[in-house]
Amino acid sequence: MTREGRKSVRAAAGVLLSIAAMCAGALLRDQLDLGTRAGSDLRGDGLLASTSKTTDLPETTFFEDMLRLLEQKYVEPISDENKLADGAVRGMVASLSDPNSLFMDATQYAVYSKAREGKFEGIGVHCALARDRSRASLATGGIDDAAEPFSRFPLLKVVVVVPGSSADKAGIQVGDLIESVDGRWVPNSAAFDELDRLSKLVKEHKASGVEFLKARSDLREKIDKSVIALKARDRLMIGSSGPVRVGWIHQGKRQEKSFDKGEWTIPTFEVRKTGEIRFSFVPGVADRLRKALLNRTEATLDLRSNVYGDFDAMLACLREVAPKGVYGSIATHKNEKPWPIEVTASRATRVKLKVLVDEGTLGVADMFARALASRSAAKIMGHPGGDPLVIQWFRLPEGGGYTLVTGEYRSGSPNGIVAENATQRKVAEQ
Amino acid sequence: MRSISFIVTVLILFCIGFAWRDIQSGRAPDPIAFQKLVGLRTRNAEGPEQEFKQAYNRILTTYYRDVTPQKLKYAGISGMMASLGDPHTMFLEPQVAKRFAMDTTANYVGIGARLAQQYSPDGKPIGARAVVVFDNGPAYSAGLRRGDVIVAVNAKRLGAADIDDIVKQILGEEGTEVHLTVLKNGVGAPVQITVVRAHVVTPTVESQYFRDSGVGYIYMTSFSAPTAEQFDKELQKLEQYPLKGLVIDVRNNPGGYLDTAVDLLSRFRANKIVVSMKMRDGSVSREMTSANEVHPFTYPVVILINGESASAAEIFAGALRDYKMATLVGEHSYGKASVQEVYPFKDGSSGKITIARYYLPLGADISRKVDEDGTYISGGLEPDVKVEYQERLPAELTGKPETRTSDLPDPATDNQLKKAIEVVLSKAG
Repeated sequence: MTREGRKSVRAAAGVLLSIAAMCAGALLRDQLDLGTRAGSDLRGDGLLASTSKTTDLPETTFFEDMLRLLEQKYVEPISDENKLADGAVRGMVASLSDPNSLFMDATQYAVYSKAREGKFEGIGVHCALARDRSRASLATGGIDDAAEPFSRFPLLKVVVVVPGSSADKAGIQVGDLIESVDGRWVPNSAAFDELDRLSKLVKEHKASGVEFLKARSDLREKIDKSVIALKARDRLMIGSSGPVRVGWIHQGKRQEKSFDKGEWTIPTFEVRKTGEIRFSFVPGVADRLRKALLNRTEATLDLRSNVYGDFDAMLACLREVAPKGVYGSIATHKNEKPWPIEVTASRATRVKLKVLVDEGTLGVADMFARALASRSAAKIMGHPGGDPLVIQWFRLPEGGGYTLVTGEYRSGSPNGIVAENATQRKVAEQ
Repeated sequence: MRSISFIVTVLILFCIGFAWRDIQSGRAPDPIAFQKLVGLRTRNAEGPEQEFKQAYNRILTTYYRDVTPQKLKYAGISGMMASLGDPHTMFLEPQVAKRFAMDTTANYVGIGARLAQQYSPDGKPIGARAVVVFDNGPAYSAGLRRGDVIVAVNAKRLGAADIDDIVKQILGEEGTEVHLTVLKNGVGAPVQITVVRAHVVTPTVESQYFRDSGVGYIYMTSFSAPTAEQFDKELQKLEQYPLKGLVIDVRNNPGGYLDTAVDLLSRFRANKIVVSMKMRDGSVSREMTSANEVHPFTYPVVILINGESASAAEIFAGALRDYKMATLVGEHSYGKASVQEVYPFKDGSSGKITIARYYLPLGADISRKVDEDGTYISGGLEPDVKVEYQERLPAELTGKPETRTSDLPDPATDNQLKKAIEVVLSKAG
């Protein structure tokens, strides 16, 4: 080869190498940013061009693009990207407007996780956000704080009172409503309904305008000094020392008192002297239940104030007490078929069961009672909470987490909703 | 030597390739990506993006009720922006962004009227009353006037329709027709009016001369693009009368463009600092009034403020007081001491992001402080003369249909305005 030839080959190789280096750089970047699904159709412009509903990535690069925009423009330097990610998750969970799908920060997650095992802080209660059914327009409303603090109001209802706790000693009972915490009002729709009622009376000349104006400005003052239900709940349930002043409504009567916070425990499994068996649906509880039922011909299961529970543990318990058969089904995501709750290999001896329920019988405990009721496998005493839902817990990297409702109990009868109502009536009447 | 320069060239080209995604979308190369490249950051696998994506996919695929991907995405972005703890940094969904742009530019396609819900004497909604019909708008040329009540749109009776819903029915594409069935002045037989929708500039400034007191009154609803010009026009109208004083009402005025506030202040003083803005990099930039737009105000000026006066409205009121050219009457203002920029996206949504904090000419920081439950602690402009607003009964509860054709506050029923007039007269001496 001539000297010139060698030179031009080297030059060509140099050019090729240069191009290769540039392409390698671009590819590597795609790899870094987009993971394994790198490709020309996935450039990081989700924010600008995202209209697709069919693929995941263009939707989710939205987050990265907004993050970058904030990093470039926001007045303060953004030091903690994880806080923003947590905020995004909080926003998404809140948008479900579901009192059982809730975001928790690290402190909340730690405290409420412990409560699942029966270890409570605060005044010794668990409160649930209950939909206020007194107002049709709010029936679909949710509870989040981020967007519209006063457009929708859940009730803050006591569903667990830990025996021996401050709350128990002061006479707070399951079903009571929390009305104020440390002098701050927990807004409820009744107050707004009252104003609506008054405005109607004014129109009909049955009340004076002055009266209406007074009521309205009183309500505004109350709103100015209010606390949203979720925060109020935290103040009752988080922290193990110090006082908190609580106003609550017991059977229509308002009471207010100062409480000392502490630490309280409800055992996850307990056979009372009276013979009743009280337990939480925690993993492994089915074995203890079986042992406790040995040599019994009848038993009373106390599922009152039973808020948290593990779905699999509930199924295992059902197998211990229920004869073979289908006990309704769990409806999950719309794309999936409801799947039956089936007891195939029952270990159940013929124990005659009574199940005690109350307004605090929620989630899988509610489901357990309904499942048994659907085949008259137990006598249900009381009215359960009314939300037989599968609620899953998810933890986030920074210590926070969230709950998500992933299934709902349906009674198994082919008559569908009619049968569901019938079941509910049955549950209620017995 | 040559081989070194060759290696450097290859390396540079590699970097250009690596940063191509940024260059292509007009951004500066992303330092985080480079850090990841050389191994300084490796938490990509469980980083914030992953956290977001995982939750997003999990909710879409496992939540027991139907979720719209778009709604979920928007909620995520909103939540992310809210987590900064700045109430003015927020995500605007397409509809909100459109509304926001309409308000700040004061320019939209429509019929050119401001409507309010109209109630029957027994308090039932029966349609929409025209409270303002813009002088040069299409509705005015078609014959719609203040006080007329619209009872049907395109032959569809409104009945109990909500005012937002009525507005939605009336809005439409430029050049298209909308047929309104109207009760002239709210009474008599229905009349048909056909309006061709067109570009409309919203009046953001209205004025009235109070004959009994000799005081001029200017009501500003926002600091939009055409506001300064509209202010000049209304001021000219007022100055045809012998003015003892001027009341400028910025109550419930959420602000708007900083530039508009600067333009307006240029009518009062030349070459004065309006605000000092502290930017994210620590630099300070100043906004100044212009050199030769000063209008001779030969009478005292009072500005009416309340808790909903925010942003540009606070800059306007606060700067005028700092210039010793106005007395503030009313209640403390909102306290928004920051400047936002709006970044629009292709899908119609926008990000409104705080980019600077500002201080008034005399250095005051008026930023609002709230406690953890959102209750106001301090911030905003304190009025020189404090007057609390005396509530009045809403029109639909008075039992008689609204007869006033103006929607401007009336000193006979508005105690704050009444006080403002007293104050301005006392200054006139």
